[in-house]
Amino acid sequence: MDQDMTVLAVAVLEREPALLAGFDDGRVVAVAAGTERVICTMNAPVESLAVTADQTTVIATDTAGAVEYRALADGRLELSLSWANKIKVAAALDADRHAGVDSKGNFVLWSRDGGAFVSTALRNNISGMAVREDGLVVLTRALRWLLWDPFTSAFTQPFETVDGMRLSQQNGTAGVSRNGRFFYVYWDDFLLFDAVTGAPLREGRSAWYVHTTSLSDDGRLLLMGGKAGWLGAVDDKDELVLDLRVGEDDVHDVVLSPDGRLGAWRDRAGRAGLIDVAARQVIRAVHAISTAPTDE
Amino acid sequence: MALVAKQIATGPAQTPESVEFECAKRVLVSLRIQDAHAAAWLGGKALKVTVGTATEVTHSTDDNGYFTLTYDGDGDLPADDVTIVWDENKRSGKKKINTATLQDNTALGGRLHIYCLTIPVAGTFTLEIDVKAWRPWKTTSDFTGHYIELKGAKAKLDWQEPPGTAKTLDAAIKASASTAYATFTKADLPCGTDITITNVIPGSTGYGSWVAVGDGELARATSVAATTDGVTFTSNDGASRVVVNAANHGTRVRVFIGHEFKKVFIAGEGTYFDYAVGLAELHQSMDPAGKGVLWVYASQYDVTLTGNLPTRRNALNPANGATNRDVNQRTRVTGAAGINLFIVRTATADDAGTVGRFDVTDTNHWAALTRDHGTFDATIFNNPHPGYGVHLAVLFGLATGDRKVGRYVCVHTIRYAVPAVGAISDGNWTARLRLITSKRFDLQRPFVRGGASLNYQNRPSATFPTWNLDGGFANKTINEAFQYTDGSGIGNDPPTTDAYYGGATEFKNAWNDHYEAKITTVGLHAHVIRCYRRHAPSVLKVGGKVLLNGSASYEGALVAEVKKADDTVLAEAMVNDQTWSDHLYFAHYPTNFTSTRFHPSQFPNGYEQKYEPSLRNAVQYSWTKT
Repeated sequence: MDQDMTVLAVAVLEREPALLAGFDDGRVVAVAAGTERVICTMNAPVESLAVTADQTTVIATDTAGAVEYRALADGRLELSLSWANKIKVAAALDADRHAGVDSKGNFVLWSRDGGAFVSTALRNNISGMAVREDGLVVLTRALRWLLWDPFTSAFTQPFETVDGMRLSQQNGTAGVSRNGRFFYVYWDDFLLFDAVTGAPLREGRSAWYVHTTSLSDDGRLLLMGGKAGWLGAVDDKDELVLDLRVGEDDVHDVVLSPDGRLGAWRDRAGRAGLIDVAARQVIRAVHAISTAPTDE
Repeated sequence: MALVAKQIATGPAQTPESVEFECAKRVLVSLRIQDAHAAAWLGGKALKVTVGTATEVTHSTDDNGYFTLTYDGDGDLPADDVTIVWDENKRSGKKKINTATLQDNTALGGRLHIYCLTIPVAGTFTLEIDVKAWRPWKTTSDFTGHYIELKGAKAKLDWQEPPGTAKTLDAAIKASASTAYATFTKADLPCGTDITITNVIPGSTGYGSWVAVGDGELARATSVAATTDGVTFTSNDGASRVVVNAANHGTRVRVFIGHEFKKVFIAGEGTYFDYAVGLAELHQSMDPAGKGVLWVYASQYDVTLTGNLPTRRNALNPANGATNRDVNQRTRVTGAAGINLFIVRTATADDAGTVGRFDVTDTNHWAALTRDHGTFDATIFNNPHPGYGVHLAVLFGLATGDRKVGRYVCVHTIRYAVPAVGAISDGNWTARLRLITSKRFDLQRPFVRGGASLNYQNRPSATFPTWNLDGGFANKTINEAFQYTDGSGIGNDPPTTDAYYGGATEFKNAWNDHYEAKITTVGLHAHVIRCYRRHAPSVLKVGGKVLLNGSASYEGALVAEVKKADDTVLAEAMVNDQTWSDHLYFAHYPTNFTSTRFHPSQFPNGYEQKYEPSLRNAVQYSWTKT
């Protein structure tokens, strides 16, 4: 790899296990033990990566608004979509419909009209998205969320969690678990909600100063990234089960595998890596300066 | 046998059939400006003609720019050399022919023989171009005072030389620092041909161009061609373009192009102008590779005079966020202030007595802003917070019936250096409150109890400034604002005497439900933001944006209208534009953007901001004026 390549997006491949890294030259690379393979090359810097639940396909987006579904086994292009702005997250609803959220806060739907996909922005002010097994789409709006039913095309009213203006801290994170079961606010406190009923499930401490978080599918583990290369994780008993320095630069993204076993991170300088959460150690790392994969 | 020069009335060569000619052979000489095929022929110009070895004779072109040599004899034209020279006002044209080489122009028909010649008038001139940015806060009528040179401006020259052959030149007007005054100069441009100066500058919202010949007075170029001393110029064709055509050889033509750029107003800039100076630095270049020019106006709630800025400080590279150690913030700010940063000061003193506070809640300050500086393309409020510099005890964010441990009976004071405190007298709030060492909003408990008596004030007649939901301001006594949770009144009602309450035995230690609110008010945080949303549109141009960059936690409040109780809309809903760093007015800067742990004064050099979060989490909210 070239020396100045920078990682812009990460995802976890649980099976291999491997780190999926998206670079500023458009390449999507799977970094496994001692090996690396290029899955595909986007036409623009990679914006986001996501792995489907069956672990067979990666959904890659780039900064030019392209969305590509690529087979992880051989990089084969399964589907190609496009949009005016870069897509932060995208997912399949069914064979003929796909959804995403763009960088301007638009909730975008691609639906097949004859052979071609037609795209529409259905709603603005949206910051994140997860598609549930039951088909409901969870759309996040900062500290709130709402549901969109793809069968009726109906939006619910936003679920109100906390009044943001009454929070003491002005920094925190909020989001939805990858499987759309849980919504959480990690702010003055750690608040966990059922994403469909809105019921509060747990209230914990927020003792750690974080920039980015990712919640496991069972809602029991929260991976955190903070200043100066700090990674941490808290369990459902508010215990800090991970406390690790993986570099010098602020961690900008963390992604937890659905089972909470593995976590990927990416820092401000474009370095990235994969950790074994339980073992509390780095198992893959990709550096911006020397990008050869290393086992650490 | 000789050719003689003879002036006869002729029409243009293209229409000879309209003229009766004798059966003779003639050489039709025309005089016109080189390459300017659409230009008028030069009439009434003196030509010096020499035939063979004869003496040079001066003749004039007719009104149509023609001159005719007529051969008197019947035979062919002799093989004489004929030299025709025109030289006037540094322009010149010369043609030497041998009549033997001339061919019959049979197309002109019959027995008529006309041999057409054209003498192009040639010459070169010098073009000086200066591209400047139109600094909006200069009010002097002096032309040059309106302008400031910025880095990296370019212009493109296009012309034809010779006719039909396109030539182009990318002229870097300013290649380096803005300090040296160096006008781009191009000599040896051909006279008599249109020189098109294209000056497309990123972010330019308008421009004007001025032209002068030599050291003459600059004249505004307009879409109507104007000619001064042989220099014709036009402009304002909607494409940042000036067309210059100089007729006279040796002319020096000066062209000034002044661009207008967006003006942005920053409300409540931080202590050391970290954001404003970074934003200004990112937008000082007119180079197409840059981010475009902005005029940055910055105001402060707590005033820092530039002479008090630190000379050693950790700053961030505004473009990429890398740490720059030991930056002289004083020279950095004054340097930018000499280019595209303007610091807005009002006549109001801040809490420290320094004049110049801009208070977003004060309509007079907003009105003064447009009065003095016109309208803006955007207003920016980063991380509006109720913290530093709000040294008041206030009743904020109450809801009727609230009896929480009074987070919302707030003392929104986060201290600077604490002055010595004298005796607390009634109403001496400011001195009293400087004692408070809150790192976050104080709770009701320290509000109501502190040792044997109330911490802050325990007289029913003492008042708290509050804002109700309608935006009204009122001073409420504690009696008007609270009651005991059993519904009984606090102190005297009405508070006619100073009956003290909050004595040591008023509550049990473990009893948190001391009082409950009788009124509903907005929080200070909400109040500050709401005032900004209400007033900022008044200083915007149509299409301008009210921008607020800050925590995602504001989303619920900002992506909604602000309404009075009677549903009157005070401020329209904003849009969540998502990640701030994706947007135009983003700049990296050291900030305690969302920190409620420490005030920046704790770290005068910015070396240890352990709890400073990443700006990456900041969100931009916007509202666009229509």
